Amino acid sequence: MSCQLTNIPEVGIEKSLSYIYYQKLIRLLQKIKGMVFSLKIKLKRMISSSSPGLLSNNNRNQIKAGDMVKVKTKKEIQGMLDERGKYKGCSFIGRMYEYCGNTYKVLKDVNYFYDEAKQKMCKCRNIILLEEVTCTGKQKLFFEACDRSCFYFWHVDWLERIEDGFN
Amino acid sequence: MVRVRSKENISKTLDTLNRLDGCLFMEQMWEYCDSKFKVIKVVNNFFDEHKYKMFKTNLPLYILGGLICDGVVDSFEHRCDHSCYFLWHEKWLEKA
Repeated sequence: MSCQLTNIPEVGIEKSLSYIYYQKLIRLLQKIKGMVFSLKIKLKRMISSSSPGLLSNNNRNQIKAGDMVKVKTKKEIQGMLDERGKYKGCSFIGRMYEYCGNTYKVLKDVNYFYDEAKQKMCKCRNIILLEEVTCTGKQKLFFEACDRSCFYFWHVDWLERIEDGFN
Repeated sequence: MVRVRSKENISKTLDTLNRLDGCLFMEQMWEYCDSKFKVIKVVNNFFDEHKYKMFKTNLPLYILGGLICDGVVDSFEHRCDHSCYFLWHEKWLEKA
């Protein structure tokens, strides 16, 4: 038996043709925005001669389900992201900034996940899910949000483990 | 609040591939039969990552509080840690 994620196209119906073209237009605008953002970051880093912060964080292999963690500040996380808004391959999307500075309980650490885009099982490390921290599905310019409520993927270096309830 | 219908009731709705209107009833969902849960979201739209576009669901599906997939699926060589919320067809639920 497969899972609902691999089976999800079966429950979907195409939107109207006008909405499909609208989505394509939005994607194009988002792509252009991404390219401008990427160029801006590259130039900024060239001027300041800095590179994305790669941390050797002692969180690794320590954070486990049930632990309390604090999401680092927006400034700290921004400093770690590359020009594509990623850190070691893990995307940090705009909607995740609202969780910065707050404390959450770890739901689980991710070792394998089914990658819907690639349609295969992928191995990963240093990725954490936080309890009740799910995607709202809202995207700028889209009329409707995605209702799937997926858990965000958090790189351990974006988190600080809180010992015995204190930071 | 909703109650997940009995195993007997749900079985009657499923085809040979354990689906109803395309929505798969996973093996691990049986354990929630006859129990009450809170609806935390109605799924009318979803983003298909593979096709990279938004779709509407062919009928409303429901997400119930705390009911997430444990990732143990026969066709997967490893346990998936994606922890997706299960999608519930309205015919599998009744008002509690």
